Amino acid sequence: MSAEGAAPAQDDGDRRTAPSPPSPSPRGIKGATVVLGDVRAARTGDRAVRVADADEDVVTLIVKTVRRHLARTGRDATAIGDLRVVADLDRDAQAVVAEALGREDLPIGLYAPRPESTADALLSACAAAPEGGPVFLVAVTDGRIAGTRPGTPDAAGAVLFEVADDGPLRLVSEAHVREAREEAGQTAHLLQLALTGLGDAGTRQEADVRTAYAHVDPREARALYGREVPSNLVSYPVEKVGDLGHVSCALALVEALAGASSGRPVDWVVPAGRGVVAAAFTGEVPGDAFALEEAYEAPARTVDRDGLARLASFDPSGQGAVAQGAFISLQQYLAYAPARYRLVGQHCTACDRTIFPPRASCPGCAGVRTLDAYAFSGKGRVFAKTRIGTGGAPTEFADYQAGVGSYDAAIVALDEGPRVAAMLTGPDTEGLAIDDGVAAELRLLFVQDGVRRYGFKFRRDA
Amino acid sequence: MGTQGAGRRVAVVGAGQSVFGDRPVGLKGLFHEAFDAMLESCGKDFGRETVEEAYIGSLGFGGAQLGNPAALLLEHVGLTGVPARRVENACASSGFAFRDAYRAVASGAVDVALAGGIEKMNDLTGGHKRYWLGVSGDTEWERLAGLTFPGVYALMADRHMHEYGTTREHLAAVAVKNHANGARNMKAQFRKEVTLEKALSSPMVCDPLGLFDCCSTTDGASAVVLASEDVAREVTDDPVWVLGSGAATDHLAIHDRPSLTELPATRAAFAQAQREAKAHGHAVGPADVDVAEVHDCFTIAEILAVEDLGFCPKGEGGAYTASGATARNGGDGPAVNPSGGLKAKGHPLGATGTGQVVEVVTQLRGQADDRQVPDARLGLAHNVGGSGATCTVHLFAKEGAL
Repeated sequence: MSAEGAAPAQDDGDRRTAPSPPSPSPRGIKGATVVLGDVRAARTGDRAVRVADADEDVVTLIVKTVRRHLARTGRDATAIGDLRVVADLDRDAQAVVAEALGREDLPIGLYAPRPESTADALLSACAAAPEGGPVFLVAVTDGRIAGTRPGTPDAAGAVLFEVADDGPLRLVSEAHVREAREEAGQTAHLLQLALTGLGDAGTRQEADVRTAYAHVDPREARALYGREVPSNLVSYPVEKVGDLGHVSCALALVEALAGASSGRPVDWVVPAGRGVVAAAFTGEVPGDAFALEEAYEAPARTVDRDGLARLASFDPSGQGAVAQGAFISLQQYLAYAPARYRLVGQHCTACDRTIFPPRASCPGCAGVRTLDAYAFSGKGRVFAKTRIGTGGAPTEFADYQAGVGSYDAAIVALDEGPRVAAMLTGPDTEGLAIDDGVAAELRLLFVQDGVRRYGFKFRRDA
Repeated sequence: MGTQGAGRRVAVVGAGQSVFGDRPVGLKGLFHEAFDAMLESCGKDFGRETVEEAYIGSLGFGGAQLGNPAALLLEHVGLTGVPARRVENACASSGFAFRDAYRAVASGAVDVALAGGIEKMNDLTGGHKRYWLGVSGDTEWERLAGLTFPGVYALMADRHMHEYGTTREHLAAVAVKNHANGARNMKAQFRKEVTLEKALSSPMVCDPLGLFDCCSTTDGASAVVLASEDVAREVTDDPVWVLGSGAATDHLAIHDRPSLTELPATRAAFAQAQREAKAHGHAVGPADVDVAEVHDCFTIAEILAVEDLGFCPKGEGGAYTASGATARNGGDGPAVNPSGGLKAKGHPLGATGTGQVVEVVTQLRGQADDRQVPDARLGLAHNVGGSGATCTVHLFAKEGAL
């Protein structure tokens, strides 16, 4: 948990740790990728939240974030050493993530989604002795967990940190302060203790420090700071994205790192459920390591309050689903998991034809022993499109349609040749026309007998 | 290619159907009604005990009697003991039942065979109805893309519009024509004409298909008796000859097909029926057809059918229909769906194929009353399962026409 050589947290009278030595952590942050919910929903005032679409959940957000990070850095899933996730993820969900990334062997570590978990997980990853490949740490929420502000919609999003031996941003000090007792000003006091715990925080010029706060309300963050707010304070951007719960602190850190001057330290303070976690990072910040603006600017569908209510009315728990569809057993469904999760089809070595979905013989030359597995890019164009009106959904999708209303479905011509039938998702599906470019994305399709079924849908290609 | 077409001459000697629509009767009663209508159409009592083989088409009528329905229904009409089976090929179930019965007689295996079909859909709840319609597409891929049959046909329509400039007005022209015909059919579910404006203003189901672009799945039964030439001469004065039978299958999912704007199974089945007719000495081209019952489960389906059957060039089916070419009376082409088609007569899935045969036989016998197609001598029945995965085409000729 603590940096190598640092004294463990002590539960003494003033509930503070001893300062860590300034030696940097053995591993450092190499980059980060942020993905936000696909829907921009109006809330009170001018605030908007980026909430999950009805077919997005923790699983699809993790897969999307990891895939996007790999794509941005020009690698495939073999680059992942291990995956650590701050979210509730049962064994079935872990299996979907591993299969969707094409890494059935991928070790997945879990941290319960509590306020301090993301900080704990990141400090732990940085402090670990070099071994294996890079750690992909994903803090994620689909907004469907109990929020920090009950009664208001929670935002959905994920932040991925890649921690590696050659990660330039090293952890130089950390402090954990646990709340001792309830009294006025307690949290502000703890905050001061945590900042002091960062060792040289008191000695360096405040203007050189980039300070990241994780809190959902900037006014409260300023109150917590307990003094004049410095101009270099970066609080969690609640106005932009809404309440991300335990992901908030990760986004605050990315904001600070993205805006930091190279070589100058970044303090990171996380008001946690039972106190405060604080850390300082320093190192050369690679210019392209954090694609934050891209995440904020990613197209999102905008819905009004009614739309938000309808999205919320879709219950992906499957409690309301009746197994009345053309029953495709889970076994039958998962027989095609590579095709459903990551568009693995076939290539015929005899006639050079690409085939999707996979089958026993080549539709071109009828070859049966000539078919190799072939991963499609997921890029394609709309070949034909329709809008399925209310009440027109197959029974599996009745709950989904009750939430989202009419939806669009299409035949997509994949760039490699074959065509597939698929639902369209994401922003502006109604505006998609024949020949428009689309890209595949893993989404929650339907729930049957309490089991979530995932598969590809297509969205407008940016 | 086997010996197809080299078989014996076969005639339809009796053909009848129940009233299609919302029928508050049981399966047995519904079948009985069709069977009685069939007996009546023979003119003579052909003797039900002479039936040697029976084929009953049904998708499954909501699962109420999914197992062994053929034995049950035949027992009810006094045919206990006859070898019978249910034939299932989605909405082409009784087209295939008819083909099987035809081939049993043509081959010489039996002299008299019964083909029929039955479905009850109106007593199903909305969810169950969608279930029974949804089991006939590619359930693992097409359906899990959120597509129902209206959705699948809407994709075909979208593509047809894109490739050929077909319009919603063209689609609506199919509905207007078929409702005009259905209004004259006492056994049709919908006996009201609709205007182009009304058809166009109906609620959107799956863009670009509105409510009036979709047929109504419904209750109904139909029954047809086929006999060898010798027997036919004995039991009826008015045999209708089967000139040829064609059938084909295709990719179940439309995304697997090279084109969304044609049904290769229709073309293959028609070509096979033509070859068989030729083997019997009759060259039949599209222009020879006077009356055609085609599978118009959606308006776009009739447009595809008139193109794939060669009544008009590919891509022109919409304008061709809108021009009135396929009207019951006075068009340049064959009268298409004088019964009202699936659109107005109603679509009791498994009963539709033999129901089409009933109409063609009635027309060729000149017994279609108000909706009689003038000088109908040669007829065609075209039955499609799913979105074209299964298809039958049968060619018929009036006694003395050839």
